Amino acid sequence: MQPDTYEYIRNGNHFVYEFFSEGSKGGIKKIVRFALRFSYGTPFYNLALGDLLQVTGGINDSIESNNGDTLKILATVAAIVIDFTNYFPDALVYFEGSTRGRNRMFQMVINRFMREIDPLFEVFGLKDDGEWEPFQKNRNYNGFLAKRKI
Amino acid sequence: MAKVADPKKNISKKDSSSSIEARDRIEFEAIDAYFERKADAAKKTLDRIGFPEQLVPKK
Repeated sequence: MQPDTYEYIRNGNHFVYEFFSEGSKGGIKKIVRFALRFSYGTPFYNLALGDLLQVTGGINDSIESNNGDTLKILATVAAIVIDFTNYFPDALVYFEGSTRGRNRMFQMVINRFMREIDPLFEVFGLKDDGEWEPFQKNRNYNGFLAKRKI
Repeated sequence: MAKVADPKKNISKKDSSSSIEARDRIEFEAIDAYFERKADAAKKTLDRIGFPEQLVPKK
């Protein structure tokens, strides 16, 4: 199944992407950013998504803007991760939801698009006991790490 | 004949442009701080947990 996605734009260095969620509440500008960090010498990129709040100029951490298009938003983020790792194929990409509910949403989407994800990425899930395991269906995770296979 | 700019108009435009730039800068800084906080929190998690050996073989 080919997921429906929004068109996105990326900045020149590939670390920031933007797109507009167009749901029942109108257009909401989404920003996706890959921030480089090192953990004991190993580089990784933290993937984060936020809504740009047009009125306050602030940002809201949300994959659910109640705009009725969560799946399309997450499919767009997945497309962005593919684009990013086309340029940085060795990158380790870490992401986590700010709540357990949001992590469950990531799990649901990874499950749903596993056929598309599996040939491209190794995905690991962070369990409650603080151990990593290769992503498995019907498990709850607190965070995720992905790396391109090809 | 060359057009002479209205100095009052220019000042007003400049002010307006400066305030937009200032607002953009504040927005940018707020957004930047948000993403930096998220990345710092992720680093703390990975410092504590480490990476899967399959992705990052131990040296």
